[in-house]
Amino acid sequence: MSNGIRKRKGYQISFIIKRIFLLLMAIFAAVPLIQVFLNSFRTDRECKIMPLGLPQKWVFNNYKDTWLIGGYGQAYFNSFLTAFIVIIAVLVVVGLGAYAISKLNFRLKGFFTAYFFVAISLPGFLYIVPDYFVMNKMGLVDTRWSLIIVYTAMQIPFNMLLLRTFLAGIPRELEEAAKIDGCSELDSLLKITLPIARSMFLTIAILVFVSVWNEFLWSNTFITTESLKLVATRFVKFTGEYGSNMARIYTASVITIAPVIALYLFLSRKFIEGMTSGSVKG
Amino acid sequence: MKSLKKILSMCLVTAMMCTMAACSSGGNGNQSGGGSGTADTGKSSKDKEKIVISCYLADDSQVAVREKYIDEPLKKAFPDVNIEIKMYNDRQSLQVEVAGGGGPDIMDLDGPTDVAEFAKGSRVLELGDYAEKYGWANLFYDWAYKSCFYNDKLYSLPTSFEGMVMYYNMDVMEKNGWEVPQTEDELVELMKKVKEKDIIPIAFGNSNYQGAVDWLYSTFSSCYAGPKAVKAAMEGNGKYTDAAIKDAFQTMVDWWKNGWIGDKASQSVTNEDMLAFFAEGKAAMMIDGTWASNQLLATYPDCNWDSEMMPAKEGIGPILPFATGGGYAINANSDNPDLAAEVLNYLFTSLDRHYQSIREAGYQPYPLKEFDISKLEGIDEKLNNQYKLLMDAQTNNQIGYCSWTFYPSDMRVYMNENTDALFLELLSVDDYLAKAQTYIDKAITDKTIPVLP
Amino acid sequence: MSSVKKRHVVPYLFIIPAFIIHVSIVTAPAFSTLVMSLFDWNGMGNAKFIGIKNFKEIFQDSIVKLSIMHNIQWLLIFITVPLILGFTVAIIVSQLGRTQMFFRTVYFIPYIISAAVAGKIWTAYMNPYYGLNQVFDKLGWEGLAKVLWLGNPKIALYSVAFVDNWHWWGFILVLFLGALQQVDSTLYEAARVDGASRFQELLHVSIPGIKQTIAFVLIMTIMWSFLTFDYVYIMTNGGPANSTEIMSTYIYKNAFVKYRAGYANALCVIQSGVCVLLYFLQKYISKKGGMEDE
Repeated sequence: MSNGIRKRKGYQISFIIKRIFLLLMAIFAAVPLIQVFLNSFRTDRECKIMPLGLPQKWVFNNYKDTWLIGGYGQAYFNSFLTAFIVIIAVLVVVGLGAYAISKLNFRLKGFFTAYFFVAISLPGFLYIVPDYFVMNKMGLVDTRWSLIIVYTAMQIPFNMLLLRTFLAGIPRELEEAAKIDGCSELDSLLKITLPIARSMFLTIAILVFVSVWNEFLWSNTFITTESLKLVATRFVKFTGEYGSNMARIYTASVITIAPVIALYLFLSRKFIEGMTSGSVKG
Repeated sequence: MKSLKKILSMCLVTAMMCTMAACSSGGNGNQSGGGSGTADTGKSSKDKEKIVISCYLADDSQVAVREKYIDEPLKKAFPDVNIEIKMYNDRQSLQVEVAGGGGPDIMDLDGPTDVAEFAKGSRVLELGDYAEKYGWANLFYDWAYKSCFYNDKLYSLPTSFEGMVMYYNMDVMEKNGWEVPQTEDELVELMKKVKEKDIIPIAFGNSNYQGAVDWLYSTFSSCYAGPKAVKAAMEGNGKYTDAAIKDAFQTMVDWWKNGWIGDKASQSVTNEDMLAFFAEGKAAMMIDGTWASNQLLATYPDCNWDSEMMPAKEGIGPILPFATGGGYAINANSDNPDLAAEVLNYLFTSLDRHYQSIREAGYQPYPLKEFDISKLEGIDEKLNNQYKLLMDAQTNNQIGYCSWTFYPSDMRVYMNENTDALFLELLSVDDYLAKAQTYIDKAITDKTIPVLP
Repeated sequence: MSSVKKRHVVPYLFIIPAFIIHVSIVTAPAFSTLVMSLFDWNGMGNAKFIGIKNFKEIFQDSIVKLSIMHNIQWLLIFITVPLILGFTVAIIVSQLGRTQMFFRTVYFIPYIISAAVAGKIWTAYMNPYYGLNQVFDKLGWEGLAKVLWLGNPKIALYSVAFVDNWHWWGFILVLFLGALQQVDSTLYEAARVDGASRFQELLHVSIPGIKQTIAFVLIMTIMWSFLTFDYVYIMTNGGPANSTEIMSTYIYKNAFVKYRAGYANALCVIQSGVCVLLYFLQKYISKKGGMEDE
């Protein structure tokens, strides 16, 4: 009896400690974003003189101005489109590849695995100029395709290895069982592995989306026509040679980050649902 | 089966998306490649020749202004040409484009040292023939024009001229009964008094842009070592390690350590903070370029400031360190270099347009000999005084040397990276200057040393 | 007969698309640029072949040594703090019920804010005149209130690492959460039937279940700590006085500010080389330690 009470009390204390810890971490994580959000309601001058704290004077026209001047409607479309295609491409290509290097046995398996690890150590500087050169010659510069192709390639190594790590946790017997039933590898990938690994694919989708959404250097270099620019490069409209409009930059940040949070919430819900339905039973 | 259906539908959607993407970008992608930038409308701009001019950093209000003073007049003057002004907010994209064989026809680069690098890589055209054709040598101030030469050839035209001055927050000065100092000694006295009142004497911050130190050392070397000493070092008749220059740098370091420049926290404070401190009265003065006046007027219109030449050192007199703010160069990859030259010529000869742009939009003036300051009636009094200051300094030959126009680029890069180390006592003035001297020596041997007026 | 052949071909078919895309966009162009490390090149044209002179210079360049030191310090910070934090929080959060979504979103937010904006806000927080130091002052913590977080060369690197940690651990969290969800729930049931406490479940089910993810995150962190760029560049640009100079910022400066692209490329070779070395090193160690990740 007393053991039960002690256990419950201990449980209560650890519960409270955990909650406090989580809340502190949440505050730590969120405060800068809250500040950015508050700053979007201030005048430019206030932002420069005292970037922290509550607005002394609340201004509400920043959103409309920033949205219109930055052309965010267009930008949202461009970024969503690009991200969508890249996500599909990456999931397909990485799904196949990760399945191969984690489940199948073939001679060059070690080589490919090592290749993708080494690939991660190549920074963007190394290949941006030759890529620009080639794409220029092919006339692809200043099109969405240039970015789609480049982003897909850039997202492959990490996500491939990530998925491989995740997939390795799924017992091979499941796919073997399917193969005995007469399925090809592709079938067993689609019918067995995919449903179980759904949440992993979702994780990768989210990570790729965030990368594409926030990527700046390449989208700034490859796309120069206003109407095609992605979201991340729009805020430069508010930086000027004689000083930037900080209030609008903060507003632009909020506009930039809002869809990502929304998407994350939406997809994450599917996560948790997928978790219970996708796991192995017996 | 179910998953196959899912995949098929995904593919269908993807295909649809792809066609959508292709359609909207198809107009750009399959034209005769190679060019950068495209027509904004569906008009067949293939008939018109095309000139792309690069332009650096402009926020939306400035874009509107620019359209009025550059886009429109250009369109009127060149109705048969499709002139596009493309914005770049960093040098990387421009460099990548140029390295990759593309880039705009007319490039607005940071200054002569920038242009020199492009020239080294044969990415900009030599302008000697055009200069003869249009008589450019006579248009510009000699010092500005000559600074655009590299290896004895002209590669760019100076877009603006600027100088380093001392700004005074007159509200703070008057409230405390302080007077604008005329000499170095008076300045020192003033700074002591300012510090006693818990106000920062000279605001400075470079945490977001380390290179801002070149404002400081350009000012100190020109004004307190004197242009003669600097010129001698650059020409090889003296050394950058000579006593005059060494003392000037030591003064700068001492003032920093006393907390007179930047309150000993300049590496933690941004440029914007610096301006904000000055405008709000947290600091009494700031050493900044004439370009800052635009920012002050735009963001802090009620700030009552004045700008003067740096308080003089005895024996040298007041000096204004000059610089060319940028340079227009013609891309070697350009398809229409002759047309580009014509456009350039237009920009520098359409003075009415230029005066208007200065009056109404605060544009920086071209370093043209013909520049008539009386045409600037109507601009803010403070700005007018500043321009007068610049003009007088040129007439009276009180010309100093800013590093980003007059120093070899390696030397400037080295100094920009290591001046903070001087302040933080991680590097001695002697070592610093000695290293800087090696860059001068190298430039002299390579014959890439800039010519000082 | 044909099914055996099929089995041999199929894996290659699966992996080839990814491989080809990547090689053509990344590796092949990267090699062409790496070749330029043997040249004296300003990034735009007219390269002069100078053999390994760039590399000789690198070995004598004190800033390179300094940068690598800083990268190593960065590595040490990052393989400890965010991993431990991320893991702990992942365990706690994964056991939550209704509030799980809220916390997961909040913790992920620092990762999705662009470095440019986050860097700016944190620089403001670290400003000695109006930032957190004012708060410390009011609280009476004078020692802390006087610290120049970004201006003091001795601690600037740690200040920036702190901010990058803030940004990074949400990402680690997501990875760990994803991995935890993959752990077979029946194993938990079995453990509970056996009378295991929460903590024992953690030790015997959760950790082994995500062992490979932990190993993966570890090697990724090690490699990435040599490639990091954004936050350092935005907050301190390698300063003050080179106290936060890391390989990436130094490469960037050489390529785009000093116009020494050949030298920058040689530095890239070194940077990538170190990364690759670290990868093979950890592979060797983990093989020895029995933690097979293959």
